[in-house]
Amino acid sequence: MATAFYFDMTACIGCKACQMACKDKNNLPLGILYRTVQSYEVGEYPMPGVYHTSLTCNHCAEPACVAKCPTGAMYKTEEGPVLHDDDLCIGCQMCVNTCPYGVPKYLEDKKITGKCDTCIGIRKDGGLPQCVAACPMRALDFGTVEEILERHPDAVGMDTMPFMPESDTRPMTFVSPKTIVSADAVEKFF
Amino acid sequence: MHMIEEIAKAKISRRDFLKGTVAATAAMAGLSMAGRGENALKAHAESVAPVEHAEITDIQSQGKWVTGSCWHNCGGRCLNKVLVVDGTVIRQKTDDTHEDSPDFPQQRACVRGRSQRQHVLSPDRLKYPMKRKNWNPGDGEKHPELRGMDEWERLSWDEAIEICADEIHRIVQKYGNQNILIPYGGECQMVLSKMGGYRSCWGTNSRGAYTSTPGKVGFWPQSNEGINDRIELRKSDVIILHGCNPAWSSAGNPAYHLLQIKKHNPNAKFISIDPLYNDSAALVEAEWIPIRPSTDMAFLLGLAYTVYKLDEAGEGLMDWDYLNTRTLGFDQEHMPTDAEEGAHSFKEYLLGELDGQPKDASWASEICGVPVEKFEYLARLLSKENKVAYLTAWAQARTHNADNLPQMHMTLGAMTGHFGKSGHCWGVSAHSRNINGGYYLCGSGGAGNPSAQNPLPNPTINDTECWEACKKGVAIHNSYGAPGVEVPIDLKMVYWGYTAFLNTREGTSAGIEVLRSMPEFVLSHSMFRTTNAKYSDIVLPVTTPWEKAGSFLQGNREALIMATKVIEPIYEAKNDQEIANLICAKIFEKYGEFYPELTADPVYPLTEEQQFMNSACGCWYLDENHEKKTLISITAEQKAAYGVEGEDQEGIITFDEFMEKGLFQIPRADGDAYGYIAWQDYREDVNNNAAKGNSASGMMEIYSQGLKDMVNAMKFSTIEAYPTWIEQEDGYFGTFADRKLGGEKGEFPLQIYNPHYLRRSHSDFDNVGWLREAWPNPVFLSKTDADAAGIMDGDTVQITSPHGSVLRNACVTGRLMPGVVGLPHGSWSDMDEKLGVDRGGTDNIICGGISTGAGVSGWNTGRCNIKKFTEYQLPADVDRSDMQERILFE
Amino acid sequence: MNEERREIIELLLVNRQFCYSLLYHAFGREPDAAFMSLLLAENTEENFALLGGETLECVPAFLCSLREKAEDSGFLDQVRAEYMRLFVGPDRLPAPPWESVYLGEDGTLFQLSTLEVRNCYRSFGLLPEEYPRVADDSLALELGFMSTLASWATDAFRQNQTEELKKYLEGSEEFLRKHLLRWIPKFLERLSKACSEGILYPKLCRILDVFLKKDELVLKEILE
Repeated sequence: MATAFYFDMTACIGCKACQMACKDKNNLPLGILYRTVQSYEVGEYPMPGVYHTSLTCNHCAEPACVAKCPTGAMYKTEEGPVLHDDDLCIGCQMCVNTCPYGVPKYLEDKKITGKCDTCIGIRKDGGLPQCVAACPMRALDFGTVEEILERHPDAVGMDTMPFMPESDTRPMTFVSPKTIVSADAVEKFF
Repeated sequence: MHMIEEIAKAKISRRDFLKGTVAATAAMAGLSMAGRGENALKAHAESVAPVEHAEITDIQSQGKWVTGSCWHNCGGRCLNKVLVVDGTVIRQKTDDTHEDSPDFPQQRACVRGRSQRQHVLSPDRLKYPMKRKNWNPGDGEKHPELRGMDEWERLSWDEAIEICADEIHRIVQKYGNQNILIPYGGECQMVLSKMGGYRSCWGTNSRGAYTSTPGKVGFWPQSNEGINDRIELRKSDVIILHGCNPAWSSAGNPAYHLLQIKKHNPNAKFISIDPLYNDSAALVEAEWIPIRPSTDMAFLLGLAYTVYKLDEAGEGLMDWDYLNTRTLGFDQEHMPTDAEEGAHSFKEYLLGELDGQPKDASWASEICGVPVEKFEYLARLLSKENKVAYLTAWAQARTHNADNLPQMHMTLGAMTGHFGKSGHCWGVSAHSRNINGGYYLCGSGGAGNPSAQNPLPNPTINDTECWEACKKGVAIHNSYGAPGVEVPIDLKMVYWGYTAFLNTREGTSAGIEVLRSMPEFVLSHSMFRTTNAKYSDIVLPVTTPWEKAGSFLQGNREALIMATKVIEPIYEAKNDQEIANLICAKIFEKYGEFYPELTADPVYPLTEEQQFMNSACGCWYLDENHEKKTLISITAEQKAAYGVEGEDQEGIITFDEFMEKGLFQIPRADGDAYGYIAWQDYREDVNNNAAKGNSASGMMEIYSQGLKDMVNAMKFSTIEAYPTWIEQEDGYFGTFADRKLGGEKGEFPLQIYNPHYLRRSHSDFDNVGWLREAWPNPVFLSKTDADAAGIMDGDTVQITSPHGSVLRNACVTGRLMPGVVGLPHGSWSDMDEKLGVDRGGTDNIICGGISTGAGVSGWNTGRCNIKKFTEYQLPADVDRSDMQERILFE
Repeated sequence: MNEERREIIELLLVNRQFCYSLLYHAFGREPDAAFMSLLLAENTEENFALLGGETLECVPAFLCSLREKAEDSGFLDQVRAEYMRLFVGPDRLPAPPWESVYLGEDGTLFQLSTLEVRNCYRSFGLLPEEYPRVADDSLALELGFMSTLASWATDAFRQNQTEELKKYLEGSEEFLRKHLLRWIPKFLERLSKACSEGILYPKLCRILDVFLKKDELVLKEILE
């Protein structure tokens, strides 16, 4: 089985409510984000375009972080999510340096790494990942790959997007992209 | 073991050392901690077993979800729930009270609401009453010049209340009530209302010219509900967003509702007319038509002219039936009876019969920057045959000389007949009614509090005039359309209540200048060291709604939120009402004989709990027959528990259920009883008095004698009775050296406006670190203007207007019209005292106090120049606190 | 236990009681003449010197320069202003003196770490006087807690209540390890950066930082 996040770029207004809900749930210090919204500009006045991305751990099918973790702290669950056992983590940052998407974050205070766990605790109680439950535009979704593709038949793999680095980890994130997505886009901080 | 061994070897007299230390410890223990209870421990008798650490990791199960108020004035008022464990707030969530669907959406909180606990529980909260060190009460030295730079001392509440009571009494007696300014803040006003009165301010705030104009021209009350409801809006085919950006200005559901229009009607045409290619436009892939700020009147006139001419040529764009039967003043054949002798009609002005200048597309284009060819294109889109939803917002009416702008929108809407039909509407889509017009379907009752009655004659000053009036010593009292009366003011005291006035009204620079020279006493109630508090002499810490018994909140028409107490008041914070009670009680005790209105009874007699319950008892909803019904079932016992007498009442949700959920929401669906088409009754029956606006004639007045007479009597500037273009001092013409279009540019060659920004709700939230991280608050520059000034993305820019100078880091973008600078609204002032520039990028340092027409605030009429700032790189706001302190310590 | 060892342990217990009491009062309220005279008394050097090492090096020089400055008429005003700026407000506090700001991660008050600290107090029958309006993990309250346990430990030692003594010392050691020692270095770093020109508090905080580390060793030794 595999689970996946889905992002509807055509509905996203870049408000960052998902980023904030994630930050709140995971109690993250300034400088650390488990879900990040980025904004890109394409074209020029008077025909500019803008699109946003909202990215977190891709919970890859073949996660490099898991392969490189020397202690088994980073592990892939049967359900799909890649999880992190804080107690086993020795803070070596192999995962930080290995992940092609820069997902695991080193938590200076705790001397361990951390990342998105798909709000597994909340999901066990029947809830949604907090980013999904937060989105005022309903642009995020989470489920099994089958559910996601059924609910969003036009979705494509996030790894087809130009802002995603090359990798062979098989990221499990889907997106309904805007047509203006371009490799020439410039990241902007609005 | 080496420490013990070393001491054993050390050549000290252990006996003497011990004796000395015991004595010193005893002396230390004898030091008083009186008045510093926050730093003292006590033995506690409770036999509460400590929560085991292991359990803390599974804290969720021990906590309780409570609805925490999100009280800010963004128009949203969404559902915010917080997990509380033993008085600590662990995390938040939003609406999960029901399944989410486009018709019955959850009331999901925005990025700001999600960081609310960072706001309420910030270490920045004011915790104790404080006094500015070099300010002395009574006849002592005041050192007004040190406001904003002085050291502070802590006071006990008793000391603070006594000083405040003495000072207020002294200033009332010595200088008179007319020299005490309490711009806003009901509790503070209550105190002075019992002592002879105070000067207050009035202003047009959010609504700009939509404050006073619609009531005179017959575009009221429906202008505030002038658009169709969100489900009806899905039936429109042409959606014009004219300065309407719910994505940034009305966070919560409005942008989602906008998206539903596109989802239901994939062929709908969206147009965005705005200086910025904003995120709402991007969301619906609107065609962007850039426009210069504060030139919307010229644009609309040009459009009206084009519509008229194309119609005349036989294209049939206009709805003559509506125009001739529902409006007055378009032409001489339809003038209102109260029109003055020799009055001209709108058409004469439009066609240039009065001034020789037809208000055609090329005339309009030169002013507003919209290409000439777009006028015919837009005019045809506006044809009466198309289902047009023309959604405008208040921003363009927050400009100088904008008094006729709402009337102009009404005029063009009437010409093309987009009122009162399914799929058609023309009006304001903003704030709580963004993309969802209509009357409220539910609401709460009154808390039962008395309101302050100001006994001072002619007591008000317009916001825009406040600081300049203080400098001049004379103000014009003309609140909300009253004829202007000159009144003297010699400012001796300022009392800040719930307002961010110094930061959020024009002329912050002038305000600081006034506060650093004139008043003898500046008193502030505040949650944080806001800009108001910074320039005060005494600050009194107040509670947030999270620390109060409970309240009801409402944004959109369908939902009502019941928020309840989350935590106890932190540190020494007190409710504003309690502060008013304490100050009044002290004044009554010491100086009661001077103030017959003061009695031994508290000025706010009700407890927080009673007020909350009163509001709950009065909650209502509209049933399917639009009858107002009691909403909440409450027993007499429940009322009594909150100190309220009353019998059992029957509603459709119990008090306990409402409290647990935090939300009551009316489900909506197409064809239900709650659909709303603005002006439908008026279109269908012009003689239906209930459906009329409240102009003198009851009709839509394109010529409005009432508006002209009201505005011109206010003594700021004059207007005509029909919409005309008026050049503004700080507007586009002001960017040219001789105010001549197309000529040489002057000292302030760029226009500047203040878009709402998601880091803040006005000025609220600006101190929240998480939000500063998410939303960096740059200045938006077009690539053209940035290149011309040699400014790159991220460079620190100095922006200077005729009224002041601020710093921001640049966001250079192709999304902004060249010639226009965008400075986000609401950030807190942070003056670099040495260089005289505001590091905070406060919009009102840039906007000056210019009073026009009906006292309309003109935040979106501004001009400036920009240059690369080379003294230092402005740190990101999220890191900027370090800088504040470093400078403070120098 | 031989007599000498017992005497030295008593000395150490009394000494840490004094040091905590001094630090508690230093951070617990704005300085007044009474506190300054106790701080500047000769025994202060000796008490810190007893612990040897780094503390010995910085305390005398600091007190010496402070005694000089204390001659100025405006001295007390100056240090009071420093206290206000750093720990009271109303301006934004450059280094807010609460544990949760450093360990709670989100920089706010009343967080999980606050709750953990409250539980430590509770397990010794203590609570903040203003509970629940104040955050339990303020620097002053935490030092007040250590000061109280230090004084109870001395009493227990003198009354030969071995079990009690062990409880207080172990409690102190655990609290140090789990709380004060984890956040004071971060607090010191931020305070020093923000207030390098400060007369009193940045240096007192440096002394606090070193003292806490020493005290952990002292506790371990006594517990052995």
